[in-house]
Amino acid sequence: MIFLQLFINFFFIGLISIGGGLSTIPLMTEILTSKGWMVQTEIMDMIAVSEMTPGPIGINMATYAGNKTAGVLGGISATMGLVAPSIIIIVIVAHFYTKYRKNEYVNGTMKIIRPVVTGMIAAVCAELAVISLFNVELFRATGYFWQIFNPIPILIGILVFIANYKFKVHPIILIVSSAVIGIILL
Amino acid sequence: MLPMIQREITEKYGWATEEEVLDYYAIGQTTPGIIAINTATFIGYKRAGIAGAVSATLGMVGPSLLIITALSTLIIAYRDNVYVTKALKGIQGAVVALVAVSIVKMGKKAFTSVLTYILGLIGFALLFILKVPTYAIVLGTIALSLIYIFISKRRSR
Repeated sequence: MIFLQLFINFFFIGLISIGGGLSTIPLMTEILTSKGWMVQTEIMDMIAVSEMTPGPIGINMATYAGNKTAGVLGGISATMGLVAPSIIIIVIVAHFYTKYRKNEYVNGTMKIIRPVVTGMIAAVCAELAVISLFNVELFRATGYFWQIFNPIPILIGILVFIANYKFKVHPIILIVSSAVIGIILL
Repeated sequence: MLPMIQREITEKYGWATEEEVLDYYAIGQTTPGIIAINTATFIGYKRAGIAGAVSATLGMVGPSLLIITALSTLIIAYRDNVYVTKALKGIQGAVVALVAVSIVKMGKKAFTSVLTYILGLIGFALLFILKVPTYAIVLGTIALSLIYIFISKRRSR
């Protein structure tokens, strides 16, 4: 049954994702594409919608993916699956949390896993960049080096990076403007 | 997210002290799952047991469920519309950029020494080049770091 499948797979994502922020992205992308639930361009739609709306991005992505795969109930199943490990683990950890906080194994492992997970997210980002910013197919067909670049998406990417990183412009403004530029120029 | 949780929980409702919230948040960062959910679950559990944990979590995901279900249903329905296709194409560059910003921000916390940069490169290469399954990288890293800490603890003794 699809709802149970979604619940179990997102339960696994919730269990394996450590380090906050976008740490759910690598495993979620892997599962969604390997199960044939979503393709990479749809995953980009999912990230865009999840970045521009309020609420934790991991939750937003789970709801989006579940809804895309199996409708409203699918969205609910995926989201419940993602948060279920949190509830179980926190209820256990809450009983000895002062010890847990100072535990050398927990803190030492975090120091090692954070950079690894950051590298993994960068790998997903690079994959998405390859399919959206570059035109490998066209380059292979024609052999002209400059045709490997997709100028408008690259330009949008550079502008959005600067606007968000330097000037803290909210993602909703950046995504809506990129959509408008896309409608006019692409 | 943290400032809002602090304001609502400590000042408005008095469900936990500021120190407790910071503690819960710190633990939420080191347990699996979404940090905001972990923190909310913790506060709910401390306040009202398992029912409290479940209520806090459901409260936290409620808005996402409503907003995202509505938006994604619209996008999925109109995915083939020529303007929607163009808009989504335009958004792709922005998505890569926003994820890149998050990576830079996470990197500031994660990359604190030469070793951590190397670990980051290893994580990148394992996934991007060697296509090792994500769960294997995460579980392998946890196992190796536990062994590493165990050995260095014994040595220092």
